[in-house]
Amino acid sequence: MSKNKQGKKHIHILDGMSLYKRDKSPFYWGYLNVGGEIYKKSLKTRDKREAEKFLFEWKSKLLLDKSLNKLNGNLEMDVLKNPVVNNTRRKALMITSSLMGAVTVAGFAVPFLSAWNPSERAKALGASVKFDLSKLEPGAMAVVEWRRTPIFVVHQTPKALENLPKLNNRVTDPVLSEGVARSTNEKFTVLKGVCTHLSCAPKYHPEIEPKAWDEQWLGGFFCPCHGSKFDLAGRVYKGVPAPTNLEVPPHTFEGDTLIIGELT
Amino acid sequence: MASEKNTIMGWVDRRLPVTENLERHLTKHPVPKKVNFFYLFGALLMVVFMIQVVTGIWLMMFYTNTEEGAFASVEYIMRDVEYGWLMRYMHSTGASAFFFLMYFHMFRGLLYGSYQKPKELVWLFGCFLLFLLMAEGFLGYVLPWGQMSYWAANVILSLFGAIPFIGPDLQVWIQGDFVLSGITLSRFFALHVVVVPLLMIALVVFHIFALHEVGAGNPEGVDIEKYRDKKGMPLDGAPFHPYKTFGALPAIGIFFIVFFAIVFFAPTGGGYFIEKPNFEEANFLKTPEHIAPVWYYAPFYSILRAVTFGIPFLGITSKFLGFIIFAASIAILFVVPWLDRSNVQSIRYKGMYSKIAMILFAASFITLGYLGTKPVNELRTIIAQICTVFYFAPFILMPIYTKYEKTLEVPDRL
Repeated sequence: MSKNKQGKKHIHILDGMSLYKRDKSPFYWGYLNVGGEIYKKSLKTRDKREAEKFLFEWKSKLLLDKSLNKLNGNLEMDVLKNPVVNNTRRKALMITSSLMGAVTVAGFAVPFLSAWNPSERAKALGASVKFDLSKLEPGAMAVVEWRRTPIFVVHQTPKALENLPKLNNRVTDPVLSEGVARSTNEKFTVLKGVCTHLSCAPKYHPEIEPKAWDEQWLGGFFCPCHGSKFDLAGRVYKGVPAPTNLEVPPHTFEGDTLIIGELT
Repeated sequence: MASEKNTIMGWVDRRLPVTENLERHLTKHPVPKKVNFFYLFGALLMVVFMIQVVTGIWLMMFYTNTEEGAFASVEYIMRDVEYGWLMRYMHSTGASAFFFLMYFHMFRGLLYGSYQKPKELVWLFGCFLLFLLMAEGFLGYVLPWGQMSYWAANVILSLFGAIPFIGPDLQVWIQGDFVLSGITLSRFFALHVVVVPLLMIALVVFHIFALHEVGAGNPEGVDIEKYRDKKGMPLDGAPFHPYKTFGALPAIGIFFIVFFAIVFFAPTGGGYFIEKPNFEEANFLKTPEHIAPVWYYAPFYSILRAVTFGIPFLGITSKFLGFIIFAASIAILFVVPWLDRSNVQSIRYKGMYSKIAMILFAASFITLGYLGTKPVNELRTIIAQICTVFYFAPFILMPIYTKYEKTLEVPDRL
């Protein structure tokens, strides 16, 4: 392919592509054979590299034109030159694909968010605990651990039970319906030892004597963190940061045994 | 152009515009030539951020993120790992330094109107960074699993529990347990070392790109873009390098002197940087006598505690209202660009009311900070309540006083 019929020197580039020089012309000329059709023209440059570049560009342009013509011939609709856009259809596709995308994201979020829930082991560790009440002296308090929360079990003295109604006016929520000691048992009060303000552990002060935080202290719990006061039944005093009474955890009595937590 | 050069850098530049971006964002970036020391905190924050990332990675190599192992692994780092104590104290002091610099950096923004149009996004990204930094600091403080780690985290997590209806379940979901436990510790570790730092890096990039788009401010509030020389360099500007880079070096030097003085001689900061109960392992049956936050949360903690009343007829408890006000104290910073109606940027040209407002705000912030580290009593609660009002008033009243007060005329040139 290095020579054509006129005998001029051709520089071979690729099959059907070559450059050649003509007399009296300072430029490179291009020769193309595209699918049997021959094209020739001056590439208007003296630089060989540039000529090669132009030759390739010319070829791709010819190929594109050809394929376009073919399309036009085969299809009635001139899609590429005058695209007909169906906006309703596009919108419908957009909405459905966005919805599908949102559902996919939400679906994938489920396992990742659920992984943060308490695991089976954590749930098992949160099961109920037993406590023997027979060894708890009147006036004493035991701390039992349940769900890692300190549970206060108070054996109320008769004096303490007598004093509780006197405090009805000084507490925010007297909860008279829950009974004097807020317990299903007359003698024992079971409370979560967690301050309802910000989760500190209130201290047990059963003594009936003037305290730094209260001149007329009749015994109860004092939270050292932010100064919340509760009586021996865990009822919160007025004017302290804690909003509600100490919580009573779910519990039941079976003779001398106290069961803290839900029965399963 | 550098990209046309036949060098290795030229080869790279034709494929990745390194030189162009370096010049745009670093070396040739024009900055106002006259600024004061308040403008150094941004650079120092970058330095501290790098300290935190590097020391953090090294700490992670020795730390155990389990309930049984966490406290012991911190002891191990302190006693057995060579220079482990240095890594840890740099990281803990770095946290305090981060907040210290951040507060000054933001106060600079408030003083000189660094949030005003068109810098709103720069300010917003900055506020998000403060929020993330607070989250990062909180998560990180839980990791040593000391008494204060445990009980302070309990206080903060119980705030989520105070949200009506969804609160208790939300708290259990965040904890992954019915109480704060090792499960919580592991997830806090993941958040502290991966999630939050990644978000922070992304936001720092946005913060700086947005800043370079709108240009840095100055204490006079003069627009330096107005007058330019023939090359397009603002007449009152100077290229970032070498003018600002070398300008920041002495500041970084001074900062390091103070920083390492603390690291070497007072790493616990008298109980304000690392609290004494935190040298005792977490015990969920024993609350420390006095739960106090680290100094950098103290102002916000004070605001939280100052709310001793709820709105009963709306079913809002004092605890939940405290949480709302506490959240609002951070959230209000986000809207400052839209509260300021002044026609000048800098406090120097604003009127008397703006100056009083800034003094009130700063004074109440410091007072709240002091009160937050002390146990409560009646007097302190009342002072905290007054200071909370003074904390919010400068922002809430801003649209009024900035609009009507008399401002001075801003000069044309810096």
